Amino acid sequence: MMKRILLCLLLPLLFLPAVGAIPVEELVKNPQEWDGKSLTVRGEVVGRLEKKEGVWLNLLDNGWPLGVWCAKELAREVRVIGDYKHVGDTVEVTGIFHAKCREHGGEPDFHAENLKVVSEGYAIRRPMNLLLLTLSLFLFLAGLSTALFLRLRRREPFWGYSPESF
Amino acid sequence: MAFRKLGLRGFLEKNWDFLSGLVVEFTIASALILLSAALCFLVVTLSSL
Amino acid sequence: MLFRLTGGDWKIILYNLGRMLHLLSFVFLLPLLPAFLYEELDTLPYFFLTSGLTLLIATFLSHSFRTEEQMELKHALCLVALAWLLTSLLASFPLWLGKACSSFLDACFESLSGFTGTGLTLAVDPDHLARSLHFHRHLLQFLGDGVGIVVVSLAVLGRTEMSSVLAFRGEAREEGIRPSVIRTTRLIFGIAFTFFVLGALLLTLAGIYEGADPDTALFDGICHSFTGYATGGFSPHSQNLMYYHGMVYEIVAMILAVIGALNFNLHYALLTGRKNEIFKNTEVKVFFSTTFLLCTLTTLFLFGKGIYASTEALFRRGVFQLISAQTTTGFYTIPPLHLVLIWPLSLLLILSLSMLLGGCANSTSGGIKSLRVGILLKSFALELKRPFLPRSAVIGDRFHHLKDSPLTSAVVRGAAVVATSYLLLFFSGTFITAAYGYGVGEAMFETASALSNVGLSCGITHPSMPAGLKLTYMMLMWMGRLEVLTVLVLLIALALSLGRKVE
Repeated sequence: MMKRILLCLLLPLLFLPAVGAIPVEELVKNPQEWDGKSLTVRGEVVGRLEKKEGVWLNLLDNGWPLGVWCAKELAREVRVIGDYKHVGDTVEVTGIFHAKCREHGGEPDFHAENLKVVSEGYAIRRPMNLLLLTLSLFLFLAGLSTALFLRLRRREPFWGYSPESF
Repeated sequence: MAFRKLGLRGFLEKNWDFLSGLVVEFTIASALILLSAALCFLVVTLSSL
Repeated sequence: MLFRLTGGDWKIILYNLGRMLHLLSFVFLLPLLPAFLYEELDTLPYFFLTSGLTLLIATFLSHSFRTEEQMELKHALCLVALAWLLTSLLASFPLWLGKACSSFLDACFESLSGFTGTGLTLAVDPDHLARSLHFHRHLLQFLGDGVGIVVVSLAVLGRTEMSSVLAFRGEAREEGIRPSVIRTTRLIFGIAFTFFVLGALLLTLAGIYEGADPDTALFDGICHSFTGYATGGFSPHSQNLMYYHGMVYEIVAMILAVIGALNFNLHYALLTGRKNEIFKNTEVKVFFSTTFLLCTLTTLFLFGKGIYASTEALFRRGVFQLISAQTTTGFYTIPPLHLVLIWPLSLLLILSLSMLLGGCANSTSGGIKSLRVGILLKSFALELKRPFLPRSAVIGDRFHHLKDSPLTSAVVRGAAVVATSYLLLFFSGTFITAAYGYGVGEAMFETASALSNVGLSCGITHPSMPAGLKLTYMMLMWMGRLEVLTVLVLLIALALSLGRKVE
């Protein structure tokens, strides 16, 4: 019983933003204030680019994107990249934010010193909407057959021009 | 098919205008970008003198 | 009576609209290919439904308003204006059904932005959007802006050459490359397709070089080539080109954008052996000069204000944004908000000017166009000379655009009318945006972006934007793409027709 009460009390904490994690929106809207500061950000990984010297991870935090530059060893923990069929790994990254990174041609980016996967990514099920499929196929076939029928009735080719025009 | 019939030399001769035109287009576009990059370099270099 | 269209006139317009929509209904099926390839079968209904709906409307229009009458210029202008609007409305269905946008209005905005080659986006979470829907968005830009789908449709389905010639003019493509419009259309498509293939190949290789996996690099290469050549600016990622964090990718994209901003006739001349045209052409000289001049100003401002201190930063952030604006592409390498938060207001104005000037005429670019700017500048120089010459002196000038042409008052008047109408719309759009509470600099920037079909944003374009402003920008994008006059002809004709009914 006590265990259940404790679980109910602690469970909501999992959904709170990590203590100390700055929203990416804040970094984008106030870049000068956070420039050069050591902080923590959290977001879903939606892109990964392997370079010789390191790895770029593209994070998405509530619709706000940020590029994170990290060592290959750190990036190895990331397994799932977010796309249409997947929610990517949610990571918490500690490092330095640069409003105009000198190393990367003036780009606003985040240099990671530590990376932790806080929740693993997973596949998204996207079932076919059978009603919509039926309706759409019916509409398409109705349109196509009506067009062809009326064309044939007027004894016209479907295309207005003869091949010689080309 | 045309390539096989004519061979590389023949293909190039037949389509020389088209292929060289493509090269010219890419070169001109690149030239504008290169000039702009050179401009950036000049600005930074001259200011440090 | 001027502009008043009779029932017979509307019959011609609606009949040809129906015939055009027949072809478009099959174009809407093209995204089925990536849907099958990437196993996104749940998106199939969106495209079948859109295609089916388009076919039904097309059949209804072409059957109910069937006529043997030939099109005249007034019909062609109204047809083109209506076609762009209706096609965008129909193309919004997959985006709305696929929840790419948060409302039907947003989906209409997105598809109109795509079709006009603008690139301002209201897409919600593009990083998790289906690839088939991304393909649809990007294809819209290539077909609407890169190729000019209305002309292609009429060339394929039109009754006579004349209908295509007139639609050609209506779609703001003034000069024909070849005497036959059918052959011209075929050439435009061929040129566009060649650059699309080359662009896709180069961007794919660049993407792999920058570290992306081959599958992502290929898909992004295809999408960015569609929108780079069409100077559209859509991207499959919320970070736009910043996703790649790579100079090589940005350079390839810039090259493609500059090529897209060049006149189709110039492409034809270069690809058929007339290489000298590039050095003699007034428009190319104006385009390159203004771009370089504005690049210089941008670089000096950014360096002088201490915003960027390195060559790489000045080039990748400053020059890139300027070229993206001047070619009216809309790719970006800095977060949109940084244009307001970090860049000075003066640079926002330089970018706005650059967007209004635009690329070359008869290209995929928007804006007033370099040819008109060149004509007006030459005319201005002539007027400055006049007071210093004897009264009886006859002065004139010439300009070279594929051939030497005299600078007549008719030519100058034509350029001035379009430039003036752009500026009037620009001020109206700025006023409306500012009335919604945005700063004047931001209002000018966003209005110029919508009107010149650029797609760069300083943060105003967002799903939370007021509906009235969304409608305003949709109007600006529509009018900008068709160079204002085509749309005005339709609106005046509609108003007069309705007015007559009320009487």
